[in-house]
Amino acid sequence: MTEPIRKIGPTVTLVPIGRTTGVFKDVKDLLGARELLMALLNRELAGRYKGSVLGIGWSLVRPLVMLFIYGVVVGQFLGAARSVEQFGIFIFVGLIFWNLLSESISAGSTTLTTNSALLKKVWFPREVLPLTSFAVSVVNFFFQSLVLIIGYAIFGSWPSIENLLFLVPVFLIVFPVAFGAGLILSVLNVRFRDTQFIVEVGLLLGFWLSPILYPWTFAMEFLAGLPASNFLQQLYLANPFALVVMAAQQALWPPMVTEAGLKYQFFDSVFSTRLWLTVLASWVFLILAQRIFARLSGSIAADL
Amino acid sequence: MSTVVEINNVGREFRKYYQSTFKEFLTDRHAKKFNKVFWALRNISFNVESGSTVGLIGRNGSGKSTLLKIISGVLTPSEGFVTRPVATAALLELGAGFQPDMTGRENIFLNSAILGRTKKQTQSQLDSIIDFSGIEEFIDTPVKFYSSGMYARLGFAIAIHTDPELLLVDEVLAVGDEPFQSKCFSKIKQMQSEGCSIVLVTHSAQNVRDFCDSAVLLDHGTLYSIGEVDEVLENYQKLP
Repeated sequence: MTEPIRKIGPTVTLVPIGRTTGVFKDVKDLLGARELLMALLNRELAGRYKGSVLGIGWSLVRPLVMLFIYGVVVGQFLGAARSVEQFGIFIFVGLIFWNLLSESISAGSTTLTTNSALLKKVWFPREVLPLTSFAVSVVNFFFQSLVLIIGYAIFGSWPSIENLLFLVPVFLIVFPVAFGAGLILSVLNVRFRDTQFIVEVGLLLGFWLSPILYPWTFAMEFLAGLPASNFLQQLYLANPFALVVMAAQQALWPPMVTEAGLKYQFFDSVFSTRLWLTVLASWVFLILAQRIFARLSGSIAADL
Repeated sequence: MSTVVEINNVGREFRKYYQSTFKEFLTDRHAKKFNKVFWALRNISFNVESGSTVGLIGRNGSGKSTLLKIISGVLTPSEGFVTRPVATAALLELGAGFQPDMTGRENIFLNSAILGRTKKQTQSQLDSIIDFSGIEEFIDTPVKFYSSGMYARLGFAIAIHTDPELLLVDEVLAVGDEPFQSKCFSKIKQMQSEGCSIVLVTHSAQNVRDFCDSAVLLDHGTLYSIGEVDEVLENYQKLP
């Protein structure tokens, strides 16, 4: 036998179930899997629309239909459009950010189970799969944003530049919340298949508990009339989904004043504080989610 | 010689029964049957020296494939540690992760990325991969139309072109026809001469003699015998 000619490359240590190699090591592994992320993203997008005429255009059909239905039913039939200027833009802003979060979370929660064939045969950083779900919704979000820009051109009014700065905290919340939820829910769904159905119901609740189809002031006014109103209002505003939608509207919805003359200014100093605290909490959540994922993902291949 | 794989007191248990819903988890958590486990592997320790080939033998259910999956990282050990090179190619199931609707060519890029290769690296070896697979004619056909042989050929071609330091081979080679099998074996010989370390699971004593520098015999999840090929094969024959 000849002596080895190869030099020894980097090694990996595989640890028992329940032990982890640390968050920094995991982040490093994940960064090392960028190429894999791109390949999986390509697979998702190319695979989903393969053989269809509209192709990626299908990702626009659902939000546009939602825009139409909600615009007509909620806006005209129920009359919400009378108290909100540029109602179409208003709900579309809310919808695209809602879709960004909800698509990523619902796809993320089933990503480990749908990719079981892969997980049982090949080793790679498993966090890549929930991250791919997020990346897919980011791509869809990008196309939906283009529609929003067309909408601005039609209405002839554009959001102000300084308001666009609110998108910074928005994305700083969206990424950790969507990715973190994908991590926890995907690994729970391997163990308990009930998870994906609970997620569906949860997202339905989240949709109506976020001020997408109505201005947040409507909810505040209603809650003000209830007992323990202050607590309920705080509870409503503690919902990160609601906060993301509100901050996105602040950034991207041109009229900041409603027809009723009510100042549509969400972000006084209290609100900004709330927003940045939520940013902080979201990142803590992401780190916790990754720790849970790392601990539980050890038994994935056997549980699938 | 340096060590390329370190297997340190590795064990893996499986539960015999299994709760899969919240209801069962909440109500039957303490039910006795859920606490029943069996150890598919226990107290396994050995090293693979750099550039050597180790044959893993044993009867059905002795834990060979479980051990190979643990080394690959697909299965996590219940106890113990494994250290292995990042550049490991596992021929556990060829073509795992192929996307049926994508063409052979597209799947080469996807599968290589799953195995940790960059697009650039794959691009530079594309011709060699296609050539080895021997299916140039159908490389732009969606893989759902491939025969199982073509599937395995492409999977094998991709895996061995990842420039691995360690190659894990389960009995996957049984799928191809004779010419392809001998092509695979001569490729494995070539990789051996280039210093690639190999762990080979097989039932064939002939394969062990042909390829391996040493052998490990597993029985009922424990390490029964380890050492020279002939000696271990003899112990395999004498297994009660």
